[in-house]
Amino acid sequence: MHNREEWLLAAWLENRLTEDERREFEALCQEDKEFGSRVELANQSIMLAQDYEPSPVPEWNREASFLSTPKKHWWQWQGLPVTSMAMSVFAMCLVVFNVEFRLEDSGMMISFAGKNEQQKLEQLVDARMQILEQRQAESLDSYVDQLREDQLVATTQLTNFVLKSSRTERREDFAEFIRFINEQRSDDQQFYARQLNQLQEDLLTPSSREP
Amino acid sequence: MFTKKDDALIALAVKGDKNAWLKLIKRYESVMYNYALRMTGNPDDGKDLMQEIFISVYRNLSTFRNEGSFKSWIFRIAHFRCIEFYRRKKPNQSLDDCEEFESNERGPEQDFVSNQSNNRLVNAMQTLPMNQKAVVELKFFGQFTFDEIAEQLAISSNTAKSRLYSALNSLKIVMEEEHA
Repeated sequence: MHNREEWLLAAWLENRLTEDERREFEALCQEDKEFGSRVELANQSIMLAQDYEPSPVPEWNREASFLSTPKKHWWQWQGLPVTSMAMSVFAMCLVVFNVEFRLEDSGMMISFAGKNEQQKLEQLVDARMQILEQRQAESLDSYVDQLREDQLVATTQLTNFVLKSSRTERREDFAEFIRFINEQRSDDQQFYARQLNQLQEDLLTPSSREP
Repeated sequence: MFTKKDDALIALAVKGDKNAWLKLIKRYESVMYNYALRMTGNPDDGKDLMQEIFISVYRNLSTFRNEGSFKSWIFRIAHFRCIEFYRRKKPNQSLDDCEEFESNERGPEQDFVSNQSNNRLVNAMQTLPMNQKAVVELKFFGQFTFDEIAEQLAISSNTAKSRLYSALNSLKIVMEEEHA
């Protein structure tokens, strides 16, 4: 019940009563003297508050309430930690995404994930490969020339050697052959001499023996 | 119109503009002093409380977010400073305990009461417990709604209504006694 009375009084003070509530409120004021006297006192209080003469403010040290904060240095700036954090995150992103800034004649180029570096690397590798190919070709040509020259020399030498050695062999063979022939002839001569001697002996011996 | 001006002054004061802060004080010191006077019932205590309120307001000025009016916000701070002041003055007395007049001794409190003799409400308010006095003060002098009072005192709206209802009963008794 008290809650309803409190609510009605509060609504009346704030002028928020509906028609039905107003009738209920007025009925309660007449029926319940205690409630009615509270309403009357509330009404009086509103008027007394309006009639209240504000006391003049005594003199006081207003400036003492201004607590001047010492001037902050730039490193004490409130946004510094946040800025620092943001810069750290930015730097981490640059590292993670492998961002590259490249100044060229036409302007600045930003590349991500090392694409620029890769292109540059490919170009460098291509250039090196070309140089290597060129060198290899030169070296191969030089090697072939050298080989051809060496082969020519070797062939000449071999031919000379073969010719020379064949001549010597033939000479030796002929000498050997001649020597063989000479030996053979000598042997034959000896054989024939022996045969002749034998024959002579054979021929001479019986006549001598017969008287 | 005032809200905009308040906002501009607050912004400047937060940045360390002393003149802006002094203008804000000038704008609200009468309201705050009379609030403190009615809550303490003593000009000296009222002055001390007003100074504490403004120091606290300045310290918390940067946290003001324009979510409500500056007046509501300043009264909220005033209420907390008032409770602190009350607890410091009367550490053994609960906020729900009734005040007692020391009528035998004549001091500044009696001077203030006699100066306001034409205002029976202010006299009678001095006998109310702190919790009820705060609601009466904000409702009749501050002209706040119960929802605003509830927000400022960090209580429910129903509690605010209930405290006013009880306060009216106490005031009636005191005022009838005075009248008799």
